[in-house]
Amino acid sequence: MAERWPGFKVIERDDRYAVWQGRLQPLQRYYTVRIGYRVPLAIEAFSLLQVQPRVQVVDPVLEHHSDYEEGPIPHVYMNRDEPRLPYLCLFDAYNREWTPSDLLAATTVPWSSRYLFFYEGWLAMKTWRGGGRHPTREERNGIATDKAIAAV
Amino acid sequence: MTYQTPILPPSTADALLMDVARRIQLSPTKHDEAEQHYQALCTHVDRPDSPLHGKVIACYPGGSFATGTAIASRVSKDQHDVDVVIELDILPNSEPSGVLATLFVAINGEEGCRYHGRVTLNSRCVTVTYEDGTRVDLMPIARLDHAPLKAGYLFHWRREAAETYHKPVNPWGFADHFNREVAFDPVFATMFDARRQIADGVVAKAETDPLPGRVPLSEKSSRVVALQLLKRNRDVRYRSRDGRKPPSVVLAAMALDIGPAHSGLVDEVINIASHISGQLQDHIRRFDTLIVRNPSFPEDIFTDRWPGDVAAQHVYMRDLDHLQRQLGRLRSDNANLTEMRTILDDLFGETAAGFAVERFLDASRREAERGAMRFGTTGRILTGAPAIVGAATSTVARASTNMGGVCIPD
Repeated sequence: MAERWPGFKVIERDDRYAVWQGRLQPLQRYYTVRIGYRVPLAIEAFSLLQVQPRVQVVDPVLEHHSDYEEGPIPHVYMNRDEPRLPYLCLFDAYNREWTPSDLLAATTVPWSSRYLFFYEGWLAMKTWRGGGRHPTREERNGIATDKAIAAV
Repeated sequence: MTYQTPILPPSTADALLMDVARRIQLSPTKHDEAEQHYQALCTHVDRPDSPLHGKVIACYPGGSFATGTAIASRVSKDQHDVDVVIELDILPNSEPSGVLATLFVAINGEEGCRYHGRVTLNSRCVTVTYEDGTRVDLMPIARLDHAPLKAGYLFHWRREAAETYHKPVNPWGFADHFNREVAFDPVFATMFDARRQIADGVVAKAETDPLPGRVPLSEKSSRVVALQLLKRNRDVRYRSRDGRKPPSVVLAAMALDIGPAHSGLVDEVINIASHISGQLQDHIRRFDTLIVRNPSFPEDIFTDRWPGDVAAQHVYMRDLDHLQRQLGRLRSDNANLTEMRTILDDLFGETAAGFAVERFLDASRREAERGAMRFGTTGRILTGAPAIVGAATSTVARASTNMGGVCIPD
């Protein structure tokens, strides 16, 4: 992480948990981004939805636009504790596009920058042009659950 | 012939300007349609029961259509105007009002005739407006003896101002001169074509060298495309102004006075704008007005109806300075995408600007979906030359799908 993303620093850490914070500049504007991640234990049964890295845009906070396509904020998971700081939905957990064996530096960080790039496009065009999908009803109802996998 | 020089993708600002240009240009279909329109018109003027039967010597596009610098007159509706020269076998000193009126009658014809009711008589031409809003301006000229090839007199008549005169012109000569002077630039033509493929998501075709004969005139050099952008900017600026706007032919002729074209489109637009602005500034300082002549026929003065006075020069000079400042902001390191869109809206109108930003985003999305998006160490999405230069230190991210709409389970 430090090698590829020198602007990111660890701001919180314990045995299996760390939080990084740094600045991303997809085009011209800078965004402060926070990434929290807890490495699951080998014996834990978990779903990717639960263990995925939690990415938040701290500054400037993401704008709400209910009248824009995919609004009020496109492709985020709600955050009940801090509604202003939702989590970015950067991959399809149902299809295992990310697993704990992936490096955050090779996936989560560039995907966050990609998200912010299209977020700027969303602000400029009022339409989301970054692609993506929403969970199907089956996925939402847990009939087709995201894959429970063994930890690495 | 294969070009050995590696061709770098355009910068973000150049890519956006290329997409604006693609939106304002005439599509090949519109181009073909325009040709059919004017050829049918000329045949109509020469029909057996026409007052000009047997008098049509030649008919050819003049102005922007002949130099590849034509743009849509109304971008949102893809409307365009075509200037056509119709050479008539009449005496050069024929009465202008008579010549124009006869051409009007020849085109308008009897009631029930194809063009009847769609024809307007103007001071130098007769205009036919088609159902889709396309307009063809047919300008009659009579060839002059002892003058360069195809040089002639145009006929000017304005009843309201009691103006009537002949003016020496040579539109064919200028187009020929312009097309010879503006060299085919294989680097630019390749970049432009590559941009079209990336932005429109066209599957890359087998590698072919762009040859002058195969590349449309309108895409052969950054100078031609920069002129299209300059004209679009002029049209946007003059939308709500009274009075004449700087004629396209004046801009094209002045652009020929500059040195070699830059391959970068932003640089080339600034290059031309700065040159024209500088010339206007010189004349403003001297309290006189610009004179631009047809390089193929100096008797043909392009500036006979604009600028007219120092104030008109000042207005356009300010526009050109604004254009340069805004383009400087567009390519600076401080503009976000919303600001870039605002700049493009301001300079080239909403339709073309929206198209360019959409295409930019869509091309980036396709890159992301291919897992080919590159990121600098600050997360900067690398496009154009920086993507190649920074390839060693950048991160390529594999594709993933944006999801969302639910809460993360506890």
